[in-house]
Amino acid sequence: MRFAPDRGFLYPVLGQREYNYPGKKFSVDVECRVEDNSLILTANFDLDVESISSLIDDGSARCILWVYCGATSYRQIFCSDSTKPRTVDGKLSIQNVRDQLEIHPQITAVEELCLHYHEANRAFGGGPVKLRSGNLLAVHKPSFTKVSEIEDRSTKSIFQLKKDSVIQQEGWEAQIDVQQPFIELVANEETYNNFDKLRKDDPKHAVQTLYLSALVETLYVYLKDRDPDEASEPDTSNWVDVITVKLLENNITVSDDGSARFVLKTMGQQSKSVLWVAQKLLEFPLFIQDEVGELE
Amino acid sequence: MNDVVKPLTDTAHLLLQELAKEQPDLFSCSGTLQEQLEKKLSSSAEEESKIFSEHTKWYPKESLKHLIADVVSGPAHDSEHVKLLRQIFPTFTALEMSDPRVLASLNCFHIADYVKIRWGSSNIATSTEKDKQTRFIKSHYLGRSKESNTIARLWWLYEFALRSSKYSKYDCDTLLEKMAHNVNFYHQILRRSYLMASDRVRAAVLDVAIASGLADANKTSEVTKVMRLLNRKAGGISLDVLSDEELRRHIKESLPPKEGAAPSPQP
Repeated sequence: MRFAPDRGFLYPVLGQREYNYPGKKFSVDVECRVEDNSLILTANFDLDVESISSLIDDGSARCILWVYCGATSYRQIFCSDSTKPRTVDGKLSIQNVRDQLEIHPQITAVEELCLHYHEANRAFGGGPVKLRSGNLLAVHKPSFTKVSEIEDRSTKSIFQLKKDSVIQQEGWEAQIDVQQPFIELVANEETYNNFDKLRKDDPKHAVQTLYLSALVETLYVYLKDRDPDEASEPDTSNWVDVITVKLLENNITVSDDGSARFVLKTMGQQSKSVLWVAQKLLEFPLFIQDEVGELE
Repeated sequence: MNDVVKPLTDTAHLLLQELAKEQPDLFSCSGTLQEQLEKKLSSSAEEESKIFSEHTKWYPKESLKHLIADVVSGPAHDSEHVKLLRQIFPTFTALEMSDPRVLASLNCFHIADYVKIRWGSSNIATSTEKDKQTRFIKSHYLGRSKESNTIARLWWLYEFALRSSKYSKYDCDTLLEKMAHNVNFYHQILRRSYLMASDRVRAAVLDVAIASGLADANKTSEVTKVMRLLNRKAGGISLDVLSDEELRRHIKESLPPKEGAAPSPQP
C-alpha cells in the first residue's frame, strides 16, 4: 500500500498517525546510492513497540521496502531476512527508473498472526486482532529519490578509478590515451579508498575536485592528440567521442586556425579556457554508451 | 523525413509544447511543424539550437512506413501494430519509451500520419476549437501517459504482456491478443500506473480477467469497478507479499457477482 495518513484501519498501524502509538518510536533510515548501473538501497528500521518487534523476531512479520517508479511501470519489493530482521537491502538496475523513485518502508504480516496492541492508544482497546498475510503493522512516510539527472543508464563514466600498489606517493595520476576507451585515474590504495568514499558520500565535491582536475588534463590531451577526421561520426563508445558530442551539444568547437583552443560557436568564435569548458561539460554526465549498430 | 530516430533536445521539446498551445494546427503536417520549430529555435535565447539530440540514436530495421501504411481509424489494427512496432524497435527499453523527448520525436516527426489517422474519428481530433486541438496534441503526441500517447500505448501494451508472461499461466502472445483486441479493457490496464506496475500483480489480474471473461466483455464500466475495488484493497494490504493463490483470491473477490449468484459476504 502507499502511505496515506487518513486511511482508516480497524486496528492501530504504527507510523500512520501520530496518535496511534503515542510516544512510541518508529524511524527508518533509507540510504540510496548509485554504483555502476545499479541503485543500491539500504534501510534500517528502528522501533520500540515490543509487540511488533517480537513479531519481526519470530518471522511472522517482516520489514519491507517497496520501490515504485510510475514512468517505467516498475514496482518491486525487498524484504528483510532472518539474519538481519531490521535491515532491508535492495539492488535494482538503474535502467528501471526514470525521474523519481518512491521508496516505501513498512512492516507487514507475512503469515496469519495475532497482534496485541496494548502499547497503542487506549482508544483502540488493546486488541488482540487476528491479521492475515499482507496486513500492515507499520507504515513510514515514503522517501523520493530523484534520478532524472542521470541521463544514460546503459553507460559507464569515461573515468575509471583504479587501484595500483606500484604508486607509492600520495595522490593520483590520469592515464589519458586517445586510443583507449576510458581515462584511468590511478591511485595507491589509501588515495583510492579516500576517493571512493568521497565519490559515494559527497559526489558534488568529487566532481569539483577530482573529476574537474582530471577533465582539465583530459581536454589538453584532446586538443593535442585527437584525430579531427574521426569526429564526423562520433559514436560515444570512447571518451574522445563522448567529449566531441558534449562539445557539439554545448556549441563548443575546436578552433580551425590550428591554435588548439576551444571556441564558442554562438559567440562569434569567442575563445574559451580549458577550465571553463571542463566546468561546462561537467554539468552533464560524461558517460560512455554501449555501442549501437545497425540492427540485423 | 528523418531516417534515424533521435530524441528531441530539451529546448525543442519545450518549444514544441509552446507550439501546441499557440498553433495546434501545425501538428497536422510534420514538415511544416519542423520548419516552424526550427524558426522558433533559431530565435530563442537558448544556446541549444538543435531539434534532435546527438546523445542517443537508433536505427530502425524496417521503415516506420509499414506502420503508417497499415493504419486505420480506431483500435482495429492495434494488435498487429503492437507486434510490428516491436519488430521495428526490438531494443527500445522502458527507460527510452518513458522519455517524453523520445515519444514526442516519434509521434511528431516519424509517425505523424499514423497519429492523425489512428485518432482521426474522435470528436476532439476533428474539433476546430483551438483549446480542444491543443488537448488532442498534448494527449496523443506530447503527453507521456501510457494509455494516450500514441507510440507509448502500442509499445507498453507489448511490454506489459511480455513482463506479465513471466508470472502468468498464459504466454506473451495470448496475453497480448487478449489485451489488444479489447480496447476498453487494455485502456484501464495501461492507465492504472500504480496498481499495474507490479508484474506479478498485473499477471494475476490478467489471468483472472481472461478466465472470468472480464477481458473479452470489454466493458469500461465493469473493468473500472474491478480496478477500483482492487485499488481499495491495495490501500489496506500489501498485495506484493501475498502468495499467488492469495493474490488471485483477492482479485476474484473484486470481480462483479455472476448473474443469479448469491451476493458474497464483504471481506
